[in-house]
Amino acid sequence: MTFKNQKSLEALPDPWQAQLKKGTLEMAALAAIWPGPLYGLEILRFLETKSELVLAEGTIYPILSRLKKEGLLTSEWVEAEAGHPRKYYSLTASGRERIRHMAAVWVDFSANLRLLIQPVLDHKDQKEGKR
Amino acid sequence: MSALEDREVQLYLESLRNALKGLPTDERDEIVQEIGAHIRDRAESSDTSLPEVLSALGEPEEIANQYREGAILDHARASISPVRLLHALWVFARRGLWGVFALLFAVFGYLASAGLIITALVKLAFPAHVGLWLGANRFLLGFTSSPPPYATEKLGVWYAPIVGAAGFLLLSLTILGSRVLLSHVHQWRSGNFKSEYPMPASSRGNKQ
Repeated sequence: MTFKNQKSLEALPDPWQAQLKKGTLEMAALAAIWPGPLYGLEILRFLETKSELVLAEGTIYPILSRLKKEGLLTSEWVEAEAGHPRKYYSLTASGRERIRHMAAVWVDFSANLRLLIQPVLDHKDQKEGKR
Repeated sequence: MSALEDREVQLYLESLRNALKGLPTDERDEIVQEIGAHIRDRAESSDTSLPEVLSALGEPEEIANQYREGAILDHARASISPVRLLHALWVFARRGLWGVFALLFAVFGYLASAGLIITALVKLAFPAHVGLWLGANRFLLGFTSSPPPYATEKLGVWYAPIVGAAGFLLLSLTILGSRVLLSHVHQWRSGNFKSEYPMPASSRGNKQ
């Protein structure tokens, strides 16, 4: 079977980057359903078009399940006119509050980090010249 | 989807279902149904081949592990059962060094407290063979077939209550410690910035 032999894409060359993506996936998933209910694949497609966050697609489903258990999401099976039913996720009131808070923290956090690394970006060439 | 491909999807979902054992049946059914819908949607709506769809999804065992980790943690963190706590720590010990330390702490704590409690019970049946002997820079705590001649037993009839209580105290501390360790492992696993950047108290409530 092919899927048995293929290692998941998580074995990226840079573990720091992989860790960073993993840590923000939860926020990204909550943000994806901010406008309205989506099913798993729609969330994935949204994340794929907006970012390169998704490593192995299968990881999104356990995350959605955990967010649901934490009371941030609810889910509902919706029967399609043609084809199979799909599991739609939507934000609960505390989910909306949580993602709003996460977004605010993230903006502060990334702005501060940006300031922090500014010297690195500015003086990269200069430093390399000195050596 | 061809019959052959259909067979491949069935095999994938079957491995997933098997790997999810331990979870309640309705939860397993729902997960398998959801992943099945994902595979069908992907295979039907895009020009990616079925093997590509399945490999992008990841191995069924890996997906199942993530579901099971969540479930094991949720049960264990609310539990005082040593079996549940040890099982949860065992799962995380396989994930990294901190998990191994946490597991060692818990195993040591449970073994030591069980040892103390057992000797306290045995003392009631064989008073002469259980005790705390001190003397000649040596000590012996617990059960022995021949009490050492160089030392004297210090606790006497107090052995059972004192050592028993110490055992229960150590057991409680180990249970408490395991739960604290598990919630830290949990934060580390979910990869949030929770520990490094504490949230304002106002927003903490809705994490539960």
